[in-house]
Amino acid sequence: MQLSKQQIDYCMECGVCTGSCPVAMELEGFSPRGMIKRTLGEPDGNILQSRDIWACLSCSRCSDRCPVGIDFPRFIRTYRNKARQKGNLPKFSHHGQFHTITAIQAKGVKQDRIGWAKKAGKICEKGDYFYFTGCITYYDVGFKYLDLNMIQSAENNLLLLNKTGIEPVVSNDECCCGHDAFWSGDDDTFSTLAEKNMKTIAAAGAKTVIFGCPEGYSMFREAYTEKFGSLPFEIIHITEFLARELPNADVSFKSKVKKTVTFQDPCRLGRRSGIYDAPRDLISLVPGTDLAEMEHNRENAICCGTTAWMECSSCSKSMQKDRLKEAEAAGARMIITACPKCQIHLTCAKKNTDHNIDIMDLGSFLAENID
Amino acid sequence: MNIQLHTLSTVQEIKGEAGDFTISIKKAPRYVDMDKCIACGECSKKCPGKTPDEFNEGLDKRKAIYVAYPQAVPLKYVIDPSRCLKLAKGKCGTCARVCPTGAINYEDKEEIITLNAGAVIMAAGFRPFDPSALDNLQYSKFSNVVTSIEFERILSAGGPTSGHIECFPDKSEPEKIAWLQCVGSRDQNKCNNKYCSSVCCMYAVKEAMMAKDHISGEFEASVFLMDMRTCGKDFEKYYERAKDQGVCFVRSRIHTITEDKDHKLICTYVTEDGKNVKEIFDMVVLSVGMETPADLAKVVRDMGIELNANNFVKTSSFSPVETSRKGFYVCGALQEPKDIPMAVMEASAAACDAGTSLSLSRGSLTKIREYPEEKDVSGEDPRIGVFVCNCGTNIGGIVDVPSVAAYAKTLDHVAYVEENMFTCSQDTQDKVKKVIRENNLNRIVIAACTPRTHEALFQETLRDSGLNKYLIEMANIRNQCSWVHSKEPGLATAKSKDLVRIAVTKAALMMPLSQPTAGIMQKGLVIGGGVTGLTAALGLASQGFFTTLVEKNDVLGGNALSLNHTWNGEPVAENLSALVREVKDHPMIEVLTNTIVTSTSGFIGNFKTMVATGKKDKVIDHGAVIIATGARERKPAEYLYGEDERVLTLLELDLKIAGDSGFVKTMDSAVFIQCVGSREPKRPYCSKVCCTHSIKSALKFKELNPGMEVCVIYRDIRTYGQREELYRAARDKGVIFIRYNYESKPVVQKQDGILSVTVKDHVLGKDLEIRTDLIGLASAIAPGDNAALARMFKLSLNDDHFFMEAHAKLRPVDFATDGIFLAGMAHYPKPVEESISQAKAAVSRATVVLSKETVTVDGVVSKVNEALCRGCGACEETCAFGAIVVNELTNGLKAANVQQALCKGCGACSVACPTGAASVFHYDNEVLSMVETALDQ
Repeated sequence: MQLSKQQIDYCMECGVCTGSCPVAMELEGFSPRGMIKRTLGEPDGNILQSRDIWACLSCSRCSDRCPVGIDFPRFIRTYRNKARQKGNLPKFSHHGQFHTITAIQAKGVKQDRIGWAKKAGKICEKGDYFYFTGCITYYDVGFKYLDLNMIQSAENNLLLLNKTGIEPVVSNDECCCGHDAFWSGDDDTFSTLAEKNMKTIAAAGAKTVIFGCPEGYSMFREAYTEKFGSLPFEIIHITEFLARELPNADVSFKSKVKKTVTFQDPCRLGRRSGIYDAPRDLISLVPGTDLAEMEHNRENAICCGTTAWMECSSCSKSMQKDRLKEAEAAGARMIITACPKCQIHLTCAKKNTDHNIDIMDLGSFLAENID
Repeated sequence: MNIQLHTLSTVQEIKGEAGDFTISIKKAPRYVDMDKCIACGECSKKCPGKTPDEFNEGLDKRKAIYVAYPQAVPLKYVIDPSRCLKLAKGKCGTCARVCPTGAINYEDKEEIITLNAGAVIMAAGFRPFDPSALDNLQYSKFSNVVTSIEFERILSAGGPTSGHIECFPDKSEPEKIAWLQCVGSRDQNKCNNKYCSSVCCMYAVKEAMMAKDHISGEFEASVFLMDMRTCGKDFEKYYERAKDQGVCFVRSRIHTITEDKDHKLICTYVTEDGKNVKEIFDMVVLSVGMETPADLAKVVRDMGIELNANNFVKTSSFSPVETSRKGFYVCGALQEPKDIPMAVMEASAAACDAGTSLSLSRGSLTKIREYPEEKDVSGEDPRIGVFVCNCGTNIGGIVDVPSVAAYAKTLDHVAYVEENMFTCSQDTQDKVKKVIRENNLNRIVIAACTPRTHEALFQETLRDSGLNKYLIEMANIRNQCSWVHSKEPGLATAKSKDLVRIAVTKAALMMPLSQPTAGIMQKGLVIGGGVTGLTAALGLASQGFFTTLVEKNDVLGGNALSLNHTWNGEPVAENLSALVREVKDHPMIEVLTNTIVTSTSGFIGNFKTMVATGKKDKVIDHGAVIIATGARERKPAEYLYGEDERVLTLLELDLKIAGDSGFVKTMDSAVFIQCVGSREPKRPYCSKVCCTHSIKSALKFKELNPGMEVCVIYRDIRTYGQREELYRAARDKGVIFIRYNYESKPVVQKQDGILSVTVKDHVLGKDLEIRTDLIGLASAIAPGDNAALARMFKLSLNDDHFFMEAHAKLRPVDFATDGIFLAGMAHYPKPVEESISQAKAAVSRATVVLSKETVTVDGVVSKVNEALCRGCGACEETCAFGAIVVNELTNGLKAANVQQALCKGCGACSVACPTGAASVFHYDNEVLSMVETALDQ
């Protein structure tokens, strides 16, 4: 989808976008409103050469609030695609390794990525449920240096799914959902990956796809439906699935240590998919856990600082530090999040600072407190 | 450029005196023109003459035209005239026919060359002992008995069996190998090599460990030894690791080897507790020692240089690389058997002494290369020249070079493409320069071999053409295409095209890199005023560099103040006081006693170091620093030390004897206990000097009171090198040696005022109680508190808190950080002569820095994009050179900053950086674009 000129024309110059924008607060001169205005004057003009189009986090705080419903992140995304064609590339973080991995996946590569699942729980090759793990297997390798054990989230998610009585398909042929390619303007890679995933899911005969990662979920929800029309299967994020199934399942929770926690709303789960309650309901399943809300929560939550593995900067760090401060100010001793990237970014932000708050993914938090 | 190599040459005669020698050299003909030979190997491939390969110990064959080994310098072919059919019989001539550059010259003649030199350094080395004459070991008769040198070649991937260990006759993998130590060393019966060869214990442990790696099936390695002499830095830990990994160490010399009908070797030996054992091995490795060949000894003697009875060059502990002939210096195993680090240290030490004697004429014969002025191409669009090399048939025989060249023409920014027979040959180089000028090329891609061997050459070509030397990229279509895909020429060609396309992509993005220069403060700083520091300060000053010597105590001399004699009997006190006097009187040395270093900043050539003398601070500007902070004898915490005054450390004993040795005459008995605090879990290293020291003291006792009983209780006697003679002399004089295990240490007791030592004798199998009047404890040499200094200068310490050198073998006195050097016991415990060698070596290395007026920094270094930097500090944590530091900015954020002069361009910071803020020039987007290009098809 490309924003039409009319949609841009909707802009009333109210400035709520720029005022809501966490990047604009840190990065001098960055203005979503200004960018919309600039393109009005010269649609393919100098915005394509600017660094600003890469700075947007697509966190959707602006679009969530825009009184005329301009989806600024989608707008900027289409311009990113054009900018790429003009040779204006983003600055990839982590040496572009994750973009390279997706590029290789798009080329077609035989993966061996379900070893963990065979050990962690019960899975099958064909069946009604497909557990879409996402890129966590690659993050597991990539973020050992932060002392993160990313695969644990997937293992715990599988454990919880098994507890609800399902043995999902976990597939070696699953590819990146295309989120990072899509949001960094690489439409070709996204399309190739999307087609591969559709085939993989069809081959498994799944009726429901459960997503471990909010990015995959939002991609299927938005971009895949846009590309393929209505999908021949149901999609559901794991937090919604578990919030629905766990209360009826043969499992109970007991808080090992009573403590106050807070929840970091991932942009893709919250603002882009509208899921705010399911994760909170899950946290409340663990008795003795107090959920304290950060100053900015739910729709107002602030992004973890970078997206699509690009343009990480001092601006990101400063946002993240603010987020950690908010959590501490709320009296929380742990931040629970439902997105692996939030977990990685906030953990990284603690490095070389005085912040020492625990950060954990929701699945692992639940699994840890199974009675 | 300032080193002239004369290979195939022997020195005939050296006339004249120090400062003015005339050297005549006989240079044998090579029959290959060195200027024309490009080492393509075509000649050797076609040559019909075969002969045993000396480099592989005759285990396989080489051709009559050959290079001795792949790493040979210079890498040029040579004809062996005794094997060449053309030279010996006038037939053949194949090599001349196939040589693409016309380098073969059968008419080449022997030459006599005359050189003038001011100093001569002898580094003629050693010969491994030939065990053929030892009939109990049956080396010449049994195929499965090999020497350690042969075994080294067998283990080598480039060796006769490509690294596979094979037994005669069926090439089966051995299941059991035995190493026999001290073959041709510590032996005055079968041969006359009374000394220890110093290196064999360590290499046997290494070979046993490597064999375990090379053998896939069940494998048992046994080393048969008398004393395990792993006294070098970090050697003891390796020995312990070998034990942990199951290598058996048997304290026994195998006296006889026999062979069964399957060519298995039956070894008979007696265990420590007296049992006779017959054990069958598949292979036996003889750990052969080092010796000076008789003909070499004669040549050296004929030059007027004194050798000792062992045929090693005679030197003094206080001038360890000076020979008896003035102006002649010695290093390496010609002086005494020694390992690589020691030999490398001595080589630098010899260079130091030779350099000191010639320092007045420094630079007078130095050649400096001139280059045209560099053209600024940064604003130009890339115009890339691609040169695709055939490397004779090396590449061209497999890869379709014309089609690769044609493909290159289609790539963006490529302005010129050429195909060469040999891109590296001199005439092609000249042509490349011309092409660059005529076509205004501003980036060059060479599709040929590896940058490891050839990038420097092509960088020179660029500089000669007025281009920045970093504007070249190589595509390795030989190693990575024609070699590894030789059976799939089509795919090799396709991959060559890919590599060329990738290289062109990178080349288009490459910008000229600057190499800033900084002036050098031609002054030295030496930290530590012991023998090492004194020698270092004197060395730098004698080379003409003003030097500040900082000592924290109020007197100079360090540990040497308590020593009486060196191992070979030279008095320490008078040599030390002469050294101190010389240092104090030297106009170019400033001595600061009672002074400590408090902080430092800067980099090679430009250090600023703050020192404090009492409350007075002083800043010292210097270009290089030598760390010589030494180590100290540890005060023991066992064996009644500190509880009974008859229990002393070796240094305390030395002082007591130096004061009044009369007490020795009244004693009936003395006991020395070795490894007190060394080779224990807490200090898992050998203190190296104590065996020799104890034995020396024991001998002194026997000299003063021949009737007294002297015992040395030890774990392994480590009188390495010619110190072995002391061990022999001590036994000769009746000193008793009793071995103990770490698990059953001797027990010292006092009952009714009588001091006694109880120890289990392994051979007798029972406890011995020795009543004694005195106990000498060979206490560990412990490092000083090096942590503060290490932090200041950003240096590493090893696990035992000694300073860690840049490379254990090849850069033993350098630190990873440039301009900082290491000597003496701060590096590892060592005797006076080795400390002095190392001090001189450090001087020589520091002189390389100080003798220049400017230092040029490499262009391929790291940089930080401040806007992207999160100040996380990952880069600072990972940088081994202290080159990148996170600072707080005015806006309260943190950002990293690179000091180019310290940066080695290793890229560790860039890898650690999560955002890509830190990156190495030419290895940032360039690499990502290469990856992207690689994925395009």
